[in-house]
Amino acid sequence: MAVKEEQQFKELMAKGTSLGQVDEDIMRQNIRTQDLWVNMGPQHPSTHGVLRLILALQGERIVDTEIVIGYLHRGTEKLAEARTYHQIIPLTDRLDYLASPAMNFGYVLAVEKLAGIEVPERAEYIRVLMAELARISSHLLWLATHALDIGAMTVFLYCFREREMVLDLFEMATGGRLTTSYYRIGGVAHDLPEGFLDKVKEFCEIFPKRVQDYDDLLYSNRIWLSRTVNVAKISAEKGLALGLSGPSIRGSGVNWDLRRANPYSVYDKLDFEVAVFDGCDVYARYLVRRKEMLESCKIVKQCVEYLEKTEGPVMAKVPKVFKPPAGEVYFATEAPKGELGYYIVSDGSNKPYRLKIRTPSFANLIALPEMVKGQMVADVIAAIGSIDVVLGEVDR
Amino acid sequence: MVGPLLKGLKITFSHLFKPAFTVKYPYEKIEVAPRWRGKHVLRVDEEGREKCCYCGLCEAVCPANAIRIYGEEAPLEKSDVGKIAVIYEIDYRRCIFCGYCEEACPRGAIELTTFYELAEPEREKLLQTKETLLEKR
Repeated sequence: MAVKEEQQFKELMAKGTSLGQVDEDIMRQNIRTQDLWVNMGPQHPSTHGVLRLILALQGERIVDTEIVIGYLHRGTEKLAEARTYHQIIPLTDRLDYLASPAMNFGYVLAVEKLAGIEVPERAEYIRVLMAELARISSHLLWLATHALDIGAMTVFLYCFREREMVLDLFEMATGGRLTTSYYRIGGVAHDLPEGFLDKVKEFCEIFPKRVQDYDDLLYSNRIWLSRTVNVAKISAEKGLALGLSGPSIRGSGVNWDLRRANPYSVYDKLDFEVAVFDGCDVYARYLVRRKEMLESCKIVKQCVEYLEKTEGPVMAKVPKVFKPPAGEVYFATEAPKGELGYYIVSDGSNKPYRLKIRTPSFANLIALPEMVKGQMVADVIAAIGSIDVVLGEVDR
Repeated sequence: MVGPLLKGLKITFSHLFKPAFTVKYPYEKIEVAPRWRGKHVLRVDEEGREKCCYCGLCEAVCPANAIRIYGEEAPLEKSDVGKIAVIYEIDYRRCIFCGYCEEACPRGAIELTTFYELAEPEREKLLQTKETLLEKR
């Protein structure tokens, strides 16, 4: 027995406490707990790529989280400085590879703003159609993997089936399934192929029914509710302070959607609702994305209606050797994951002097430590899923 | 509590009687869209002459620097404009199949086909040369 403990023993015995009680008291005074540091990722399947988290644990509770990123860094911004404006489009595909049309969209809009190019209306509708299909596809993959992480495997299989339909549509129109490279500065690469709009309509018919299927599996499922409700909460103030955007902030009751707040392209002519829920938790973010899928489906239908009636050019007149005027521009769009902004500095040559990309997942990821503080280890998985990170755009 | 679970089970159970959605891949091939961006092909005209006239636009436009091209003067029976690409290489270790080369080509000489099984056991085989790219007639 150590000297200190012996002294404590004597003191307690002198007070007249029983022997068993004395032992327990000494033990209480001398046992210390220690934070356990656990590595999660970068190979962990539920970190959706190569995200690495270092978790400090008190038992099962999280006291601190450190995010380590950079495993998928490809230097997109630097590469862009050595590419012409057109050559950057395939690079943007590879930021958020799950919604490449949306990534292209932000970039071409930024360049068009810089150069002051008027895009034909038909091209704008095609772009919005594609971007909304990309949103559906991205949210489907999110729902699939998020549910899989939490333990609902069936939803994963069904979501991938519907996502396949969207990818087939991409393939038909653009020739690529994942990296579509369909948008061009001033329009789109080609007009839509014959029979495409009929297939889109078919998809729009089927899709809401399939969402009903997912609802039956998840919406009021006891296990799903207990894994998501009141998990990884973040208040609207905290979320805004940390720069959350997209479905992650709309799940905290903030009505902020750039398609409505700062309408670009033809979004001001389209009728849709912004999905806002104020649960602040994983479940609220699930509800936001679920509703967004249905709203996107509505937008797609309106685009199809317009495109069926009209014909016309899909490309503005842009010179082959494209040199925008010197200057700088920032353009933000609502990508499936949140605010996607491109900041371009042009020196008047055919290559940008600097291209800074504000990617949504990167900014959203910083809210993760705040969300999971005091939560269980298993809830980290739910939290990562709920902010929908794609490491391709986090690391760039 | 049991209600929603049963509802979910009903859905999964009903899928047992629906046709399978998966394709047994190596045995069944998937039909791809005509716009599919797969393996490249160098087109030849009706008289068997190569369409490529070594303008170098594809090389210039390629965002991945995957194309290497070198050309020389050629007699008219080999090329209708008197120029021909002696070396035409596409490095499939670099190519990202964006289709820009096809878009840039003024004569439709290079096109992307619907062939998509491009994996090779050795990296060296991924270097496509004129022998592997040229259209067979």
